[in-house]
Amino acid sequence: MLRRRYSVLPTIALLAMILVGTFCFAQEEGHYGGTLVIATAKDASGLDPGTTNDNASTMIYEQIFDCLIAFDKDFNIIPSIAESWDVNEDSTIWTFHLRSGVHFHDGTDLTAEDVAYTFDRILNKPELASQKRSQIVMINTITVLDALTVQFELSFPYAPFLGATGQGIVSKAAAEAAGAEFTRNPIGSGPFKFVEWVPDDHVTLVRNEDYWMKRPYLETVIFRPIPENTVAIMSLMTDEVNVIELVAGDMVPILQANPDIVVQQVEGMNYYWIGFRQYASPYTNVKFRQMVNSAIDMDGIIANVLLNGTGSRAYGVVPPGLWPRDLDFMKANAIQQDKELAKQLFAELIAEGVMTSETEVVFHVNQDAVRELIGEIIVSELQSIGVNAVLKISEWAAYLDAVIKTEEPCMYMLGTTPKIPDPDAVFSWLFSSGEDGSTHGSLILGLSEQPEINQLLLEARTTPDQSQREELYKEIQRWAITENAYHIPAFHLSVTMAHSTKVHGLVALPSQIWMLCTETANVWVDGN
Amino acid sequence: MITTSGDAATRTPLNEGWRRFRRNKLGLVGAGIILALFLIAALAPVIAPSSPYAIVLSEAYKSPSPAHWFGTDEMGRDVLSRIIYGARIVVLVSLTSILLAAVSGALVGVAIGYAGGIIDDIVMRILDAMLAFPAFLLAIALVAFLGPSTTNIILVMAITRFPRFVRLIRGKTLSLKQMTFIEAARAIGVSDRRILTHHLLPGCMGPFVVYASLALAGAILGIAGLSFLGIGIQPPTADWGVMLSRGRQYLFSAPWLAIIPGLVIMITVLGFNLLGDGLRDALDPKT
Amino acid sequence: MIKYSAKRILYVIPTVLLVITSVFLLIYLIPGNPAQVMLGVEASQEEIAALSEQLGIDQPLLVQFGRYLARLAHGDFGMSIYHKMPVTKLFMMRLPNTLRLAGFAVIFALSVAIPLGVTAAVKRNSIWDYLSMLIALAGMSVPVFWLGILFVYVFGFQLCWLPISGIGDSWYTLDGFCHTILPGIALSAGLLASSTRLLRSSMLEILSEDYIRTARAKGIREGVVVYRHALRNALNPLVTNIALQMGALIGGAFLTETVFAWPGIGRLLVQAILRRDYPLVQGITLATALFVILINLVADLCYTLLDPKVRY
Repeated sequence: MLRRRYSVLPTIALLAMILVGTFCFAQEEGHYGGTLVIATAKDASGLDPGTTNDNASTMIYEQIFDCLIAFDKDFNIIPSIAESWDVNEDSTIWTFHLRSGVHFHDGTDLTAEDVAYTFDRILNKPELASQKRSQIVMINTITVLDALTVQFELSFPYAPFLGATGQGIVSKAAAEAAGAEFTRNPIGSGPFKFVEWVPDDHVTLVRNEDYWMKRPYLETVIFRPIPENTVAIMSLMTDEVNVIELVAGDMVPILQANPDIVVQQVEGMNYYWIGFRQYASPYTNVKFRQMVNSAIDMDGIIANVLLNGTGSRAYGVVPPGLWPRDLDFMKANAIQQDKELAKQLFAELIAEGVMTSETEVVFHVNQDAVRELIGEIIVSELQSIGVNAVLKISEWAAYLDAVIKTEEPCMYMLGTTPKIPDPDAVFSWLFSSGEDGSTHGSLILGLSEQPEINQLLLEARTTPDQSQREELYKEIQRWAITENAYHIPAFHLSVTMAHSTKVHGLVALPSQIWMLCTETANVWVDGN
Repeated sequence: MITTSGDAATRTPLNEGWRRFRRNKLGLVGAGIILALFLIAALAPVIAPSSPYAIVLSEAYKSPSPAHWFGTDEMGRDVLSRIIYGARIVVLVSLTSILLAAVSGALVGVAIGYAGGIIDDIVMRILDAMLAFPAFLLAIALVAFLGPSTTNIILVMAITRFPRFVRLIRGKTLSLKQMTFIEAARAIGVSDRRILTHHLLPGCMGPFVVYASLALAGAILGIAGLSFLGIGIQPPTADWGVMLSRGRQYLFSAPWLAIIPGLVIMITVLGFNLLGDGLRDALDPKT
Repeated sequence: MIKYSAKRILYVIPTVLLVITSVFLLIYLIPGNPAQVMLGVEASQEEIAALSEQLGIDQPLLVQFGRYLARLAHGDFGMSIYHKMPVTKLFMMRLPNTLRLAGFAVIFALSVAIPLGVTAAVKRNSIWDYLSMLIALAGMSVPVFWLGILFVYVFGFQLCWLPISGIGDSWYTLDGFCHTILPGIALSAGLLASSTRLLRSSMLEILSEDYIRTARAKGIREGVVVYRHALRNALNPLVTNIALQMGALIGGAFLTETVFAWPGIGRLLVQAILRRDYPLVQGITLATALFVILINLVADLCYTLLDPKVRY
């Protein structure tokens, strides 16, 4: 009996494989045509790649413009407009060789002139109010060597420069002609051409038939800002839109259970934390900060607020996908919840005169569902050990003013997403202090000048040796969190998106970019 | 008409009004709802099954059951208790703000309506400006300057409601002003102040009462709207508007969080509206 | 009457000035810097200072106000800081959407309120009265954003009768009209209820008046009595109410606009306030203030047309 069953099995298995294989093969074949409708949380602020950094705008203009380099799924740098590049010994002179035959959407050729113009306008046109300037501020001179070669000379050695060159190449002629209107009428060389933008209603893009890389499958792409997440979900379920960015964890299992919808989640490259502003006692006291750590169950809080995979607990400042995470050390040394210890520390602080049981401990957050929830829970936990904790919620503009301009002593909560995949983007901003310190290090966190840390940061930024950089960043991270508890690492938000099963080839990425037509992707939709 | 009850001495306008009010069934329903609201608010600590602030993360998102009649919210707090304590906030904030707006509005309205002339002009123009001013900006400004306390919400509500009371009472005063009984009173030599308080104000009672109840209803909704924008009552205070604003995102996953606060608000607001109508019917001397 | 109208029209100017000044003061005094909001939390203070200087917002308040008024005199409403577009252009782009929604809301509210209110008054204390009032009141007793989400859930999602969000095509097309229905009805709920109640209240008063009794005694048909004689006079408070609500419908439709992803003026204003986009806030407030003041003016003038006892 056993033998008979076993001899049937391989045949069935073979048949199954053939069927699956044919099915997969049939699905692998893309299908030209169709419209993809993506619901976003906010409308774009502008479509000029040289001006804004915000997600809502980036995800749209990424489809319209190409950059010198591109990133594959694993964040490795691959050539795009630049076919190849050379760099000199000390990483100060970078030469890029462009590919030929690339056209802008208006038919004109893309040359080194346009590349030079793209970077120059970010650096030297203040009316652009470019948020990208700080990414490329190390560029000293830009030289056009010939029609397809451009050279950058940096004012100091900067190993991560390659990542910083990911700026959308604009057509010099079109940008100069359009002036301030360029942001409403972008002309790039990317896979999709701009058609129209009805503010707060939709942005329409159409296929670029002359795209140099490949012919995009999609005929039309429409971005629709839908601020109410519930409405966006209903739109997805009724097929009014095909893709949505998901916000709340409670919807994940419901959407996963829907046979017509696919939910994708991936760890996002971001870092959210609770900080202590170093402007007054007791926040300046390390025992106080450790007490707060002991009073709360951060793991539990994050698990409850960001459920179903929408986020994960952070133990260090380095986001997933970036290096050096040093997870073993950071996790082992993270302060666990121990209410008895917290109460004891609180008693000691009172005895030492650092604070009294009446001292108001303020946790100031901005309006955001997740942060408000975390805030309420933490305040409640602190109150349970006798601390007079208070939650303060402000809207964003007032919040920024409070944590940057004022010296209001409090706990705060912020997040950061590195614009280039390099730890310098995170560490410099977070911990540089003193006169040349960043807005966060000197003003928000309120650190007094820390010359040793600044020195470490400088070394890490300029050293080309990867392993040495790793060691330096680990040291800074341990100093900030394990030794001094300036931050309580909170969470890394996952990128969660849901899309109809009609959509194929769409992959959720940690950077929240939609790769609709890239080196490794070409999204298509079923039917017509 | 032959009266069937008691002596002539008991047939005061108040008795008449009460008798007529009793006949209006919807008004009675409204009164009943409002009475229930006050009772719940007053007896909150006694009737609430648990504390509205007790966070129990492991009990989050539980659907309605015998343990929690209205389920629990995203932090495991008992929704029924939060609704019960929320009644206190509703009573406190809406009543105070509308009382403030209504009384000051009526006084100003009847005064300028009767006085007319340049005073009327100036005050009306200031009111026009107030009506045209975006309420949201006022709310944000007050919260930014003075902090997000409940008192400030009351202030915002009162200030935004004030102009409408003035206009309404002024309008009614203007039409009453020309009526014969006012002329008669003036002819006899009744002082202006007495005319205002004893003749004009009572004549405005009809639309005033209707409008006050509308305004109360509107105030409750207005506060919910502010909570939607994040500048209403601050957590962790249990307020129906905040609960509704937060709960709406759980329409699919925890619908009781989205529906129950909305239902409670609807019933309460309906109650105020019905009561207002009943009162109007009972008090108007002409119908 | 003419003298009164002329006086009122003249008064519009100081009123509007009052609004502009108070808005200007208020929005500049609340903490928050538009350059900081735009450049983000990671921008350096030098960048913020540079942008602030470029936008002219680092100047003393009086200087900025003076400049603003001077530009205003030339019809220049400035550039939106966030959208980098002239305020007038931005406003004109969004205005048709708002008018479309508000227009639908008013027409719908009146078409339902007038029959309901008259029925409630004429058949007082009957089942029709109770039913009319309950219908009217139910829609008004819930926060509009809740009503909106429920509408979307029932009609858009469960029944799939109407599109869920957005404006669709132009207002005169079928697609555009379908997109307007749900948000329009949601927006009209409050106006519908208040209009019904006010009309009923007003009709009840009028119907007991002597001249109505006279008309009935003369043998005029009940329908004519109700609609031609009573209704005309009963519309007075209704007109005032609609005028008062116009400001809310135009600039305050924010809640409806957010739920239905409707690109209107309400949402634009709230977003501008949150971003401290000073020129845009001032521009929209100026326009809505003018509109509200003018509407109130028209309503006041209509007082005299509808109720001859009111004399100015």
